[in-house]
Amino acid sequence: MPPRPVTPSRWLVLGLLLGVATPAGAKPPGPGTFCAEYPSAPACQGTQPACTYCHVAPPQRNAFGTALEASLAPGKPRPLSDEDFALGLPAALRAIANEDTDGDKAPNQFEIEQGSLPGDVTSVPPSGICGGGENPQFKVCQYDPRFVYRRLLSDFCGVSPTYVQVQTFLELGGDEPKRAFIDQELDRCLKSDFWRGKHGQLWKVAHPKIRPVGSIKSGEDAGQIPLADYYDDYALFAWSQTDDHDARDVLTAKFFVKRSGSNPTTYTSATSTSSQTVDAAHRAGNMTSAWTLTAFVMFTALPRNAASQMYRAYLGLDIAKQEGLHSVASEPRDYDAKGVKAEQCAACHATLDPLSYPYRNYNGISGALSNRYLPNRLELLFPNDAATLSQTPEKGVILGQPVNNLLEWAQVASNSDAFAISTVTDYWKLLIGHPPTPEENEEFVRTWQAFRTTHGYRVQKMLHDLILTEAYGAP
Amino acid sequence: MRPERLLLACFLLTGCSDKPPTAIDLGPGAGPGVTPAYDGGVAKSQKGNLRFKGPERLTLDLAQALELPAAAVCNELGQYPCLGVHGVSLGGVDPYQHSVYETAPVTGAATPLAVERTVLSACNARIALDVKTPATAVVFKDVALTNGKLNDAASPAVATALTSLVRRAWLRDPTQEERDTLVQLARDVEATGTPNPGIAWMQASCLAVFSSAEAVFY
Repeated sequence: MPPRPVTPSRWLVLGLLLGVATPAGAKPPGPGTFCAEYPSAPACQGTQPACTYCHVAPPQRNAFGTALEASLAPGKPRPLSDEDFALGLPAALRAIANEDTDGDKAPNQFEIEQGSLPGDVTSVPPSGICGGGENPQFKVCQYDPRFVYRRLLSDFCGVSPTYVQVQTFLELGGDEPKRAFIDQELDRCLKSDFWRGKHGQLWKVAHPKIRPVGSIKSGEDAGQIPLADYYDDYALFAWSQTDDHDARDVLTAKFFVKRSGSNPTTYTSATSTSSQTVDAAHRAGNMTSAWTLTAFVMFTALPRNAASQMYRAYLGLDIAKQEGLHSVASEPRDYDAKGVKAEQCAACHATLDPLSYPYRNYNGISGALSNRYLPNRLELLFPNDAATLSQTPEKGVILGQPVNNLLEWAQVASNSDAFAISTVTDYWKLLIGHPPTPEENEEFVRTWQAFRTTHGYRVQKMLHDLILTEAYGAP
Repeated sequence: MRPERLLLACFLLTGCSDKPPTAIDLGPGAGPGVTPAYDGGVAKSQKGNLRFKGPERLTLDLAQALELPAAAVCNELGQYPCLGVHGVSLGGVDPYQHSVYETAPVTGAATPLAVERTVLSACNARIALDVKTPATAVVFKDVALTNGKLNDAASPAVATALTSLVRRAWLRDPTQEERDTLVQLARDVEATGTPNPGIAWMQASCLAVFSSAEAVFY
């Protein structure tokens, strides 16, 4: 299970799906209760359990969720109140602690403590068993500098070392000089076009965030209907991930970035560029780029899609998967009269709508007014929409914190655990090939926490840590 | 291609000792006494986390190993780079035109075909250069052919060429068994009666080595 930061309101969904009819604005203290019961569980190290802990796909429960529901406040009439839910949860967790609900021969409590999923038969605790015997090519089960050297050059430079290079590396002697050489090679490869150049690996990390569409691209490599240039977004993203730059700039930058040259490709900051039109006072990195406004705001009055995409892309929280739900009391207000107060909608929209309000004045596609911050945009451009639309505030809420505008939204987002976790997860997936597994969780948590603190959000420094993990370096 | 199977295959290739394994799984229906596990005599990884090279790394590795310009590694109809034509099949992305933003978590049904096509193209390019201009040959240096046949499959030049091939693909020396197998391949190819068996052997040996799990995973 990839560790994901979740919120108390995620447990609202849990409550609903367990048959507890909870008002949309309620906040059952489920995550806190779970983590108080299991404080050392990997799922509670900077994160909280995801929906998949108890569900296959909501509302369908997995084996653990089914067993938990049966033990939750037995005898109490359904639906449970929030208080009963919270009071009953610890006892329910204890009641099934020694059961093996998913049938993988590991008791629930052991799975929770080891970081595997107690409701998934394919998720089992790390065996801790390492195969015996000799292997002339690989140090299986332990950090193997030769393996790392080969993998590192492929990952970051795009090409394996040659036979001669491998022999030279082996002649370096002990692990210390080898590790020092590996660090040097990493720095060299981080400057390669394979890593940072146009269409390089950093761009690959950015694709799901930027979601380019070639047919409406403007500028270099323009499409048939040029509307906005997403190469600016790739440039800022790549800039924020390279050299000694702060990764948070991708959400907070008031400047732009220009790409130039090749071998090496360079990225330089600029105060203006003809392809970007949001004024300096309202810029928030890629959140307000011309491409984001064109592609994700488009013609929408209340740009929920833009907010949810930024939440998904940069915080790793996909509201469509019921991740990162932080219900706000009295929300959703349904200013645009889309019917989101309906019970089946409100559980997500109580988070999504206040997340979207700060986008109210950022315009998408509308001729000369495209891709700009327009005070009173809703009043100006949507006069015939719902009567309550103009009441939409610019103030919103993200991760439970009130914000006055999108710039504050970006600050809260970029300073959150979720941002650090999401950033490191991107590279974990790119370089190790999968999201962190239970047995990798300890190294993963250490890596993202150091990224956030010791390394001051510098990706390059974080990558030096990542290649030293056993997750990366033990074949 | 499940990673764990390929891992096993990889270790079989990377870790083979000169001695034949004492027991080999002959599969269902095999006679008694056959040990149903063949580990090649080496310690196995508990992770099985091999990663497929994908279009860019595969192309760049072939270009480096066979000393070809990257643009010459593989072109469909002689003009469309395989990197683009088979990019998604090879585990790549196609974000700008077809909204394929992330690589598939597993290799697809067409992946082995695309790998073999790319590798064979690169091998053919190298072999053509080596045969056409022997003085500047890179891999099959001094491998003498007469009427399209290898003069002597057991010659030192053949052994050297095979060692060179393996070093370029696997970054290690071949085992005696591996080299013997590739030498035997020359005889097997010739026995098929194909015209130009020497060239066909070069193609077959290059394809076998560069399309192996050890060469396409890392």
